[in-house]
Amino acid sequence: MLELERLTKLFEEGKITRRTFLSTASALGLTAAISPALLSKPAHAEGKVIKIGGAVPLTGPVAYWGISTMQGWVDGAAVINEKGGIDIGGEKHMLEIITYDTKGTVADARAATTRLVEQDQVKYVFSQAAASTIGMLQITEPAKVISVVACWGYLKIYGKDYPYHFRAEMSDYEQGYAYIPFMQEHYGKDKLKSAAFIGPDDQDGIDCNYSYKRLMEYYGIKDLGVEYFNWEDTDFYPIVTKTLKSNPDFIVTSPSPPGITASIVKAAREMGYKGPISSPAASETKTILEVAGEYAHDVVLPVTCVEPVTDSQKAIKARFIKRFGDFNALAGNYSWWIYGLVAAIEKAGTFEDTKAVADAMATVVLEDTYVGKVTWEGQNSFGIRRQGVYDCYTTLIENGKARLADVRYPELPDTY
Amino acid sequence: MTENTKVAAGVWLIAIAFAFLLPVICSYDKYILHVGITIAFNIALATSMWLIWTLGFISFAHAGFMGIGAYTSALLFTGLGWSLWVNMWLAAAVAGLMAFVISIPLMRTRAVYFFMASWAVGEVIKRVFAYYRGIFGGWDGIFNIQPPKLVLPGLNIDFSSRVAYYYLALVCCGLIVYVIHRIVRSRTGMIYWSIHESEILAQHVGINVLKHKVIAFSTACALAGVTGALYAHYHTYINPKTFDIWQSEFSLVHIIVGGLNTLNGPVLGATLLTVVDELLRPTGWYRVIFFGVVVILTVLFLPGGLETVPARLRALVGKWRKRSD
Repeated sequence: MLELERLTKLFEEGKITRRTFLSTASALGLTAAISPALLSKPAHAEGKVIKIGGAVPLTGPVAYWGISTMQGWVDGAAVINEKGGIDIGGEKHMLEIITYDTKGTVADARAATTRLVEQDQVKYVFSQAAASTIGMLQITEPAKVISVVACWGYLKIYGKDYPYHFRAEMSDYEQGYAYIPFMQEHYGKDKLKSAAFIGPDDQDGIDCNYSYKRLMEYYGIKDLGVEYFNWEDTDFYPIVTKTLKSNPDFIVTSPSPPGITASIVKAAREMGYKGPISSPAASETKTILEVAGEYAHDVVLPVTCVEPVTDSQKAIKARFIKRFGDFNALAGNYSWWIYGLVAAIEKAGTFEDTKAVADAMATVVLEDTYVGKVTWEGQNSFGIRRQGVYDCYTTLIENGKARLADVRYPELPDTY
Repeated sequence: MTENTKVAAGVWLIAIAFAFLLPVICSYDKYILHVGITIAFNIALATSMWLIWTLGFISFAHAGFMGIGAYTSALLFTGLGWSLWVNMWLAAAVAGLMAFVISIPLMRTRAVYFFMASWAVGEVIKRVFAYYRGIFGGWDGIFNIQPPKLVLPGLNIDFSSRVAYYYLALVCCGLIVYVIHRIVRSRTGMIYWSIHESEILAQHVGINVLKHKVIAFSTACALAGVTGALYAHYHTYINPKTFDIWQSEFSLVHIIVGGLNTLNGPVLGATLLTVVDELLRPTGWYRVIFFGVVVILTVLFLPGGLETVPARLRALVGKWRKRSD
């Protein structure tokens, strides 16, 4: 910054032109801005290190999810390193997190993963959202690299044929076996006999609608149909009007971010709709309360731990605020992933044999995480245990106030 | 041949030689080869978009036509098992034909109306891929589009190898650039630039403006279709979002930063920005800031783009020599 001060002085003294001043100052500013990110090296780079790569969207429309995911890994690695690292056969190994941006696109995810696997030589990667996962899997599976992701649907690229691929985040399907029983208990089974679905007009919306349909069939609830919105939409009144025509007892909207959930809730309440509205992907209450205001009532938010309850949850929240200056429930939900992987590595007694680690990971059970108890399920559905299932913290918004209303492990059917 | 042309030809030769030797230079590093393939795709798309610019138009539907080529090749492969060797020609034909039909009304519009209309065309193409789920796989897209194999007497190349695909992309990209170079250097190219300069004047000297605009647009889109086919068989997966308006906008940035006046511009812009984008990948959100800053700085301080740097340097050296004399 001394250079910038000198430059300003020269400009004020009239020794350089305005054009030279502007161009040099811009170049200096840009260099100052990007150099920390380019040049920073972890302090433990010299010791025994296990590299974990992140190919996550840090920019673009799903950056919020990507940044939350990254925070979980960065925080977890710091905590584990502070405690001395991972113990493998009596030898300590430190963790290093390398993160590259995928912009939430398939091609960028492929490039980022190729760089992680080929140049950084990582054996473990994490990702977020469908596009990044698709791009990542093309590289990770042939290279026998373990991937831990949040990806709903896209079942073509999941299961026995992808033995190194773990889906840590519970999709709306698994969540349904927790929040629907809760809603039936809370509102009464007789008052929830029919439902309608609202989702985005893309593959995520189609996949979530498929999950919703299976859930409705399982619980004997009449499905009254689906309405799709575009991501660019800001006016949800036409879609909500069409949905309300069929007079559903409750509405499920998924995957709808908090802002869209709030707009749907507001529109529905303004048009006199009284039934509950569930949003399995919102995972946040602040925006909903701000946007929907007085209309925010009977909004059911699964996997949303609005306020930490246990000591572990409180500690995670405090650490995130200290480390990142902020905390959101979604980042809390992702904070257990790294501990699941570390437990698997320690159980397998190796970090180089990823097959042994993958086999060990499928049997890992974590008891005290931000999302409570965690296991890997899906043996009967997918022929392999690769789906993370955990306690579902359901938040309920009533009369403009959010409260934690229910905690239960999903009551999955035997066929799952 | 002037001195400048000789220098330019020399630079091109060095660049081509470097591109061919890159796998050896980088010790067959798969990541660097991937970046090389991405550069080839970006050059092919930016140069074909630049061909439309020679008429004075920027088409935001360009990535859509790349998508038409990609989907044509993908569907022929997954449905009929046809190889990329056949599909790429059909991809070009389908993209070119669709462009021909669309361009007849589209090319009658001008300025902001063309901009808006091409935007709409790009969006409609994307939505068609998404809407007709049974044919195009909807938002889910198409999976398992395998790279081709080349089996000739005494020659068996599997293009699932990164090195092989790098050379395939390089050769195809080179051919696309060469075709565009030949077009713009011909009499037809001069007609395109005359339309660019003044459509009304061109019309008054007897040029069939609409005919030339339709042909140029269709040719550019056919070349984008070939790029799309190559893209699909490399990435093995496509979906509608891959070919949305943003892809066209990135190509436009490549052209603006590289330079709008000659074919060197899009080649330089696509190469440099792809490399820089990859270098900045670990910086997360700084990438977005950097891109914005680069475009603003180029517009402010380097009007004409990177291609004008040699001339500026020459002028600077001349000025310095004059002063020292």
